[in-house]
Amino acid sequence: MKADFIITFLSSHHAIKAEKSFMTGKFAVELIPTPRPISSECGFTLFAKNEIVEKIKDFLKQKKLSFAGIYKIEYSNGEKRYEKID
Amino acid sequence: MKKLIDACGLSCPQPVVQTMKALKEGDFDELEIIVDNVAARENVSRFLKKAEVEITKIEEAGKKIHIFARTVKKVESTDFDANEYPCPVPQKNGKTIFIAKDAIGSGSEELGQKLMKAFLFTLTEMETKPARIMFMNSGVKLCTEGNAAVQNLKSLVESGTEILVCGTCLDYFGISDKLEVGIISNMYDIAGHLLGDDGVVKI
Repeated sequence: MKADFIITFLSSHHAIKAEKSFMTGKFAVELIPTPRPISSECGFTLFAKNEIVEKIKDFLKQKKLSFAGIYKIEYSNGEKRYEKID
Repeated sequence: MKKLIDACGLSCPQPVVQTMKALKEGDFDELEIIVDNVAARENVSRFLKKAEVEITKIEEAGKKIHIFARTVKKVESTDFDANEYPCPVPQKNGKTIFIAKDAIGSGSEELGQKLMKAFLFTLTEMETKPARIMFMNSGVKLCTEGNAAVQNLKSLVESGTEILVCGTCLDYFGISDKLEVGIISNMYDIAGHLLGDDGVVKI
């Protein structure tokens, strides 16, 4: 599975609430465990493809969904690198 | 003059690296490389051919493989890319996982289902995949149309995990025709695997 960015949250309630909102808005997001290299308050993280990153950001603002951070995932030699972008 | 390289116990691409070093030094006309696995034999042989070194003989003695070669001319430079000589990871899948519910634990169904989904996703990312996953009772729903876990389960099947789904359970829930991943199984198969040699983890 390929992911291009992930959104972290302050709690599992925030993560599950955000997932519901995104699903209702027909966004292709997926609730996954927070990757090990990222330190987060919450074990759940949302991930989605790069094409919709801007729409996702707008949606987060519009729906006033609280989140902890947005990370870009870069793939190189079969490894993943995470870079905080927001 | 003859040179001996003992690359036993080394994993790829180390046997190739040692061979390359020896070729660069080049103070010999005969070469014997000893390796102890097929991947190393293939990689070293391929490297020698590429470096235009003639392989005269390959002998297998027990677990050890002796590769004999003769340098026809001095090897000036050898292009080497470690990615060209990988060690195939032996496909050894681990335990049997028994899933008898579509959620992990009790307390909150919603949280339990999210945890189950996240757990199955995480399995796809683990180096050692389960040998098989067996689904019973509401666990079978995870294998059916529209469930968010289906994609991850398909990915596990591609990695060699066997997925067995309780046929009686699918029938009970009236979702036999909705099965998207896995093969329909029965109590005898499932009991057999629970009592089998692979370790079992119940979720």
